[in-house]
Amino acid sequence: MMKKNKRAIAILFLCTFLLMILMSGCGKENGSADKESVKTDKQTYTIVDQLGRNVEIPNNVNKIVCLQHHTLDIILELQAQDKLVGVLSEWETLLGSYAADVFPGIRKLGYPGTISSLNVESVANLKPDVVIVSNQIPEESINQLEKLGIPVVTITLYVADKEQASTIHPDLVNPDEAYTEGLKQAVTLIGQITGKKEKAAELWNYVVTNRAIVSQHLDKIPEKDRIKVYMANEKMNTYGTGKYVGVAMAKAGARNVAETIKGYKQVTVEQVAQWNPQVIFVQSRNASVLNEIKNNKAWAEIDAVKKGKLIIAPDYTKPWGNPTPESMALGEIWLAKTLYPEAFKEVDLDKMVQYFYKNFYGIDYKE
Amino acid sequence: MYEISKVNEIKSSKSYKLLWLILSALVVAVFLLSLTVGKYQVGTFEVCQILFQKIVPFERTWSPLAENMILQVRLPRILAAMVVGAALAVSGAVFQGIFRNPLASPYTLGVSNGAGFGAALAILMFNSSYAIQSFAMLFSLVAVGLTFLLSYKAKNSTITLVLGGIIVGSLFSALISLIKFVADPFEKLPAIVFWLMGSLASLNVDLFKTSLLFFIFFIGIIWLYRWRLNVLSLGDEEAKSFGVDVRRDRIIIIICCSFLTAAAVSISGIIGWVGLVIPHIGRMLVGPDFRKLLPVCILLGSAYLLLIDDLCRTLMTVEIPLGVITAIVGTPLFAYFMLSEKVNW
Repeated sequence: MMKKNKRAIAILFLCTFLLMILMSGCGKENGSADKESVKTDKQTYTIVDQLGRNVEIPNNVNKIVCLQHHTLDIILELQAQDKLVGVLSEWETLLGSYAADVFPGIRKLGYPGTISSLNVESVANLKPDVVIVSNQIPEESINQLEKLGIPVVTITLYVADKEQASTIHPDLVNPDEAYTEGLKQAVTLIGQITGKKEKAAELWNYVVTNRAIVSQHLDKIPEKDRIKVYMANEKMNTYGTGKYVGVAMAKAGARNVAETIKGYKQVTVEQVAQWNPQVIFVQSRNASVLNEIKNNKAWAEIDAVKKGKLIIAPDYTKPWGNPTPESMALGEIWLAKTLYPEAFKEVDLDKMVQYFYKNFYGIDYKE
Repeated sequence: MYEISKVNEIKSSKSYKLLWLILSALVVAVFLLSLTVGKYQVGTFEVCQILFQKIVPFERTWSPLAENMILQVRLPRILAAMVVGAALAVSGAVFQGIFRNPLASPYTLGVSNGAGFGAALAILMFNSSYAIQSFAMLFSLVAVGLTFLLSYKAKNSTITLVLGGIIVGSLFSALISLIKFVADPFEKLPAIVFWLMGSLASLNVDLFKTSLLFFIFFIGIIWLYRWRLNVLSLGDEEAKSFGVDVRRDRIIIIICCSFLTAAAVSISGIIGWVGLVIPHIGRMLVGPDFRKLLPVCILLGSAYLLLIDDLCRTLMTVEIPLGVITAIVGTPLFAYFMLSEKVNW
């Protein structure tokens, strides 16, 4: 018995030893030597991504894997789609089919991951120069890609201190500034990486110009006449403060009735009745929600329903949790014009939309 | 008893050794196969060169990317799959033995629900892999501790342990639902759900390296208890008549198994069916004798989970959760054994 146990212990030690040797194979000594050899054949420069990480990017980026749908959208606006070799698999649900109108080749690309997970080998197999991910990707996946010598850039679309930025559900103190600065940073970064700096600057300038138009015209409307707005989503969810929709409403002179709640949350009909919004609007992908509201007696006495102010936001407004250049440049002006048609009557929004689509996406806008 | 078992051992030792050799060869074969498959194309010959470059000086014809892919991405993940599979199979076999219940699994005492709660809480609050793994570990042990406490206040028989496990498990699964409800539906919830389904896609290599010794230590202790395990699985009365301190030994063994399972779950998330099915297959091959069952379970468990993980990372371009595939493969397998009456008890 004792003898057998000794043998068992000896075998165990042997196992440990073997495993240790194997594991030391995955150690770091190989990594450093290899990274050198990867670096020498390419000129690189260092950027700081939106999680505050330093990333070395090759000067000439020709292959990009993009696993963040807002970034994909911006790449399309900068007309850098020919550099894409892989995108996130759910791009169509998250962005809409217009992405395929702008860039028909998107259906033939590799789909090596989603917004929140990626397959390291699938990504590496596309041999990208840069991988762009959201802050929902586990840090291990990023580490693995970096060990393979593939630079990873994180895009969050908002600016916050480091701790806030890595939490996906930020408690932004000043959401307006955080999203505006964040989107500006993102557009600049993506312009830099894709080699489309001028186009990126043009895009951001257009956003700034249009926002100025909105605030100029809103000056005429006194604070007390600002309209109370509720945004209806599926399953009684709405956007409170801390999400971009709240910022867009504020910029467009609307008062978000849900300003007392944080983030994207479920509310009750009673709560909405209490708020009694004057206008209810929905994203175009949630158009069916409006019919539910119309047909539901519980909603009948709410101001917006009584006066028939139920509005579907057009595709180009993109009133989502995170901002896009389009939602800032066109969405805010659309909302303001819809709420205060008198004040904005000389603003030709249709022309702006056509200009934006032609100049940035390179296609005509169709309803 | 000793004499009889001696005779049996001699009679079957030859075929057992053969089986052992076959299974070991199987594990090595699956290991090598796993190194060569993946979404990133590396030739089989190149894989061998990379693997043995320290021993045989090859000329470096392969790309550094391929080398890192094999050594930094595939190898750690493969080893993790094997270790987790072995740990789950061993603790499944032990639990089935000492609870004398063919339906017992490593999760019977509420380990999985406790770990799930810990991980969900960590995802909600911190979202760092260190936090997730340590919370999973901590709360799985809390769950087992509660189960023990319950059965200690009752009579501490195996039945009250199993019942306590069900109670504690239900409590923690309700708490998991609560966290899922509170979590942000777009951002936190998918991460929690994905963790609960089990995956090795975002394995933290450094943490895995440190927990390796841990696995070996507890499997080692269970191996030293293989004789007692045989006696304990006869039932309390019989075990007592052999002069075994039933209560003490059972507690030591259960604690070891719980640590083993908790460590496995904290690395990989909740993977069902391995700890239930593999011990049955092992028993089919070598019978209920733990001296043979334990090594067979280690070999079978590691090979099985490794194969399943290969499927997870190669079937689609995105990762598939491990727990899903183990259940899809495991249930028909188990049904087959049940129908063909090969599950002897």
